[in-house]
Amino acid sequence: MKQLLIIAFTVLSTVAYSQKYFTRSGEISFYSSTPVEDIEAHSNSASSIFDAKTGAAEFSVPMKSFQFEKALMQEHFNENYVESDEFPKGTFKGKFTNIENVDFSKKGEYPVNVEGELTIHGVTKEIKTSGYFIIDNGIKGEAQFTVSPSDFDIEIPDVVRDKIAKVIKIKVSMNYKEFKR
Amino acid sequence: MKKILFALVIAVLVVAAYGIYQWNKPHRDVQGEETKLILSSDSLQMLYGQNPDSANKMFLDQAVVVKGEVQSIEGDSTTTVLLPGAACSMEVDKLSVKKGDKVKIKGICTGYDDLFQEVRIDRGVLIQ
Repeated sequence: MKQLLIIAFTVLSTVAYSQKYFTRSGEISFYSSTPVEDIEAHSNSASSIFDAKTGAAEFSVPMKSFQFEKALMQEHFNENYVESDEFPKGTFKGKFTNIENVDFSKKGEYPVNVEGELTIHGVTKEIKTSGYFIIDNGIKGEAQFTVSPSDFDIEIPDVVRDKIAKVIKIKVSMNYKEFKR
Repeated sequence: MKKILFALVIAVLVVAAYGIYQWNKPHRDVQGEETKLILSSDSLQMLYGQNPDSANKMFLDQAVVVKGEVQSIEGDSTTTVLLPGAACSMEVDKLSVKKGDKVKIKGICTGYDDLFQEVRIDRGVLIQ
């Protein structure tokens, strides 16, 4: 009986320790702002999994899921800039480097640092940024960072150079759920 | 001289009209598109698993109809219906389906998600 209890405890504590959270409907938005024009696009189809113990985190978003206000902009984004037929998704693989500061069982707002590899348009870059975990009735992860299209070999033609910002702001907002196998 | 001027004015108007049309052209009407790409969600997943590149050539950005049994429904910002091997982000949030229902969903195939090893469908609508 005792042995059984010990086994049960060991199994339970391992499960609790390798706690994973996920979402398939994360929001990713980006914003380009210039004096000539403001452009924004949103996706609600980003997927993500992270491990609350190790901090390892992965994100993936279908490029075709970004919605723009203007159909024409969406077309240009897909065909000319991110070339989404060839590179259908954007991904991030990395980790929350100070995940131990987050108490997932206690309400609050916890700052976290994130670093890892961002891949867009087939080009991978190291990025570092910070964000928050907001523990309330659910678990929400939020972060903001900026990227330059030129870093990802995205060429902006001269005719529209004034309309597309050199630095694009990206907002990430994820409502995570517990991952049960 | 007058003729040339007249032709020039017409040309400018045509270019302007085309520009305005392009600028305001409507978003894609996925539900209005005819599609021959009708298949079960798990066979779509299998095709992606076998050869993602050729599957993308055939399905990516196309209107597709996937059939399958609802595994679960997730939702916060967007309702996502899980079929075997496919996750469908739905256009409307209130759905009259539940786990175990056999459904057909029409939407755009946006590719393969390696995290969950499943195909993604966007702007999905239940049909029939």
